[in-house]
Amino acid sequence: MTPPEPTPIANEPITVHVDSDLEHLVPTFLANRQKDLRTIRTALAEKDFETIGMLGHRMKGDGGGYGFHAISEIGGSMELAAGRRDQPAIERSTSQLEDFLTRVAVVFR
Amino acid sequence: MPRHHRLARQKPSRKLTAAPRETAHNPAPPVPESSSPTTGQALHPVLSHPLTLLNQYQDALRQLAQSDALTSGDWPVACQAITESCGTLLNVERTSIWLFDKDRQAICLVDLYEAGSRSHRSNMVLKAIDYPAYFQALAVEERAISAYDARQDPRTKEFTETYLLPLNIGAMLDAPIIQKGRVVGILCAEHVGGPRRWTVYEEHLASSMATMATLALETAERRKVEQALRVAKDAAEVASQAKSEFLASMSHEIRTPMNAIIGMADLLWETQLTPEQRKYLRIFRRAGGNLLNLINDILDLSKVESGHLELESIDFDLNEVLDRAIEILAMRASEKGVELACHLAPDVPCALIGDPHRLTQILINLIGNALKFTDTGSVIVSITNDPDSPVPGTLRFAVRDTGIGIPADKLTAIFESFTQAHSSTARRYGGTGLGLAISRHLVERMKGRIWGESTVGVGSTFYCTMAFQVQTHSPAEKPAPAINLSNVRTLVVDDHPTNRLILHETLAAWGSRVTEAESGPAGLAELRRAAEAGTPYELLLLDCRMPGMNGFAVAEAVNGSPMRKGLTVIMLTSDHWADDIARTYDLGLGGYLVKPLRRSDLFQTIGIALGRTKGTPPPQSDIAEARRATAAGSLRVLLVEDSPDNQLLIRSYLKHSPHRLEIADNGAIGVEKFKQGHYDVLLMDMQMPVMDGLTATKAIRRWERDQDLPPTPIIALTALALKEEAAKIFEAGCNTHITKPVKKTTLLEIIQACKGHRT
Repeated sequence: MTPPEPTPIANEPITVHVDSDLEHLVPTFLANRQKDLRTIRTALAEKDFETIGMLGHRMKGDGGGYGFHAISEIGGSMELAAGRRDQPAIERSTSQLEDFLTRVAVVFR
Repeated sequence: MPRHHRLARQKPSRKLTAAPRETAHNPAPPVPESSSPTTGQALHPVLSHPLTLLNQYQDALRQLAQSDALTSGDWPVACQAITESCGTLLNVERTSIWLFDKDRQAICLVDLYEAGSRSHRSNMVLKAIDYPAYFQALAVEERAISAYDARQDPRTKEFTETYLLPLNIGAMLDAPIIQKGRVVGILCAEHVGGPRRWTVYEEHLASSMATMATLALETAERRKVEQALRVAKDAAEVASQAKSEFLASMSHEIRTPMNAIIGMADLLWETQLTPEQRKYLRIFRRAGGNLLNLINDILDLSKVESGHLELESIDFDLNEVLDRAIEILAMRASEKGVELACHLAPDVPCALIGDPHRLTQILINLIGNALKFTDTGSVIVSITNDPDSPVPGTLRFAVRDTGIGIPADKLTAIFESFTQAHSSTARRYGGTGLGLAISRHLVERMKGRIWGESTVGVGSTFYCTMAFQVQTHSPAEKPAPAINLSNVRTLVVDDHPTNRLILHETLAAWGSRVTEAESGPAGLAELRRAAEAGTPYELLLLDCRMPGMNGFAVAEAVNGSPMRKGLTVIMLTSDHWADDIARTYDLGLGGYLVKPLRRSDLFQTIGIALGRTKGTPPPQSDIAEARRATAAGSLRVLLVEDSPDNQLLIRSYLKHSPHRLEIADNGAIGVEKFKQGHYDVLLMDMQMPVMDGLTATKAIRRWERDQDLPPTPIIALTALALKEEAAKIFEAGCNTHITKPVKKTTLLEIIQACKGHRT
């Protein structure tokens, strides 16, 4: 499992190596993050920082386990931003997550 | 001597015919009793020279004394030999031996020898009431009754009508058979024909023959007593055997339903129960287990006593036996915080022939006892060659503890069945009191002995010696060490001298150059010194629990210094197991070893750790798989975690393991599930909605205390690695924590470590 490139070039795929044991779990995991995106956007509109904080915390905890360290990092930032009720920071993290989910290419090994 | 009235009438004619006529009426000259042999009896040997005669008597007596007949203990056969010999020497027609009956009112014929027909007979009785004078004479005469003319002699003339005349008996010589100063019978020589003057020699001969009869009687009686004793002994042995067999079969019969009862209780334990029901069931299971132990001990003891116990004689490796025994007891030692170590002297042969299972049983008994009676300090097992025996394979095992000790006057009694040193001991410490008795029997069967030495309040040492054979046929007497540590510089840091000794000897045997340090600061100083001298250490074995500076503090200090480069650190953990293991991983160390140290673990762990450090990636997952595969049984794991993705991940990690996973979505559900079910280990996420992990852990610990339950291992799963957070986690009652992301191997290893702690 390798961390993503530190400064990804826009539109270039981000290759993530994941243990093949987890192959059957990864699609669900990534689909759940897409759901998180929608939930976060709704929560942001409703100023429900608690939900955003919880989702950020979960991402921080779960991402690395699946090999997506970027998701852990994004989740960590989002959790802290929710704690500060920092809307712009939350929006930045959300965009990062969206960008990552769009470009991620998983290689199982 | 007269015969029984009826018989006397049946026989006379034949007897008279058979009797030598020419001697029948030979007048016996009145020679004084003490004079030389008479000359009136032409055919008698008394005509010979007295010296020849005496020699003849002496030879005959010697032969008789040495004859099988007399020494065999067969009384009738002995009597036949005596009467024959006596009859021949005295040249009389009839010789007989009689014994008094119980009330001394009659004498009974044991044997009568008739020279003419060379025949023996017995079974006649003569009553005192019929022959009072003769019985009176028997009572008062100290020497032989020598009746020159039996029909005239006042002592014998009452036989004339019924006996002497019909049988034509003229003279009688009756010598008393004396036993323990009392006349018990009579030896009778009867001369057919006229009177006969008995010489002094003849009287002496008769007395000697009577003495022979006494000896034969005593031999016979002794033989009879011996036989009775033998019969009694056989009977006792049969009874004892029957008792043991009864016990063995009874124990077996009890065990069968007991197993069902305990098995059902175990199944019941798995079901939904109220806290109260669970409490009752726990007592039920504990009592059932104790009862089963007792029955097993009784069964074992009865087997040993009835001789049914067959000792095996198979090849075994002493190291493996020691490892097994130590492994079984390691958990108990760790729970009590007692240091358990086992030192095998390097010169002890390990490839042995004997019964490894019984040896294990003895060791478990001795070490188990030591742990039972030791609350602080250590239990050290030492194995050496028996200093009192030069025979190779005769080993001495010593188990030394720092426990409560045993009063000197109880040190012997404790090896007897159902005995403990204090009557209160069983109540406080439990146990059947049969263990040492069984061990004593087993040790004795292995040609050894067992004994204890103790000082009350200081501790006890139990010794036992056992004789094994040393394998001679093994192709590789000393298998090549599993790993080659040639010239690997190793530093062992442990405050316990026995552990240092064990590690030093073992690693040195594998080629390593070993240095010891007895404390954290001393270890650090030595590491620095070596680094500065340009000979840095490559392997560091660190005891994690040391007074002052513990192993983790040493590891942290090393981690922050240039000394860390090229150094493989292995942590020796004992209590607080999972905590230590997790910290070992957190610190990025080479590995950990759980005390008490076992040789097999040692080389496996060092091998993996060195391989890891030196860049040759060890087949990590293989090792983890192998460890999982070898460990029997599965654990019930409760994951308390709100994140569906992490639930899925952990589920996938455990999918191919033998463990069973249940999931609670938050702390509140987790606590409820814990109260209703039964789990061996909990994985607790910390940050959760509804109830967080800290609150849930505290609730579980409180409930366990209320229910008098042992604490179930709780592993905290955290995304945080801050020190103050970690402190909170331990305060709440978690045993350890793993930082997310959790690696599969780490999780499985930690769950595996819980297995040893399952109650």
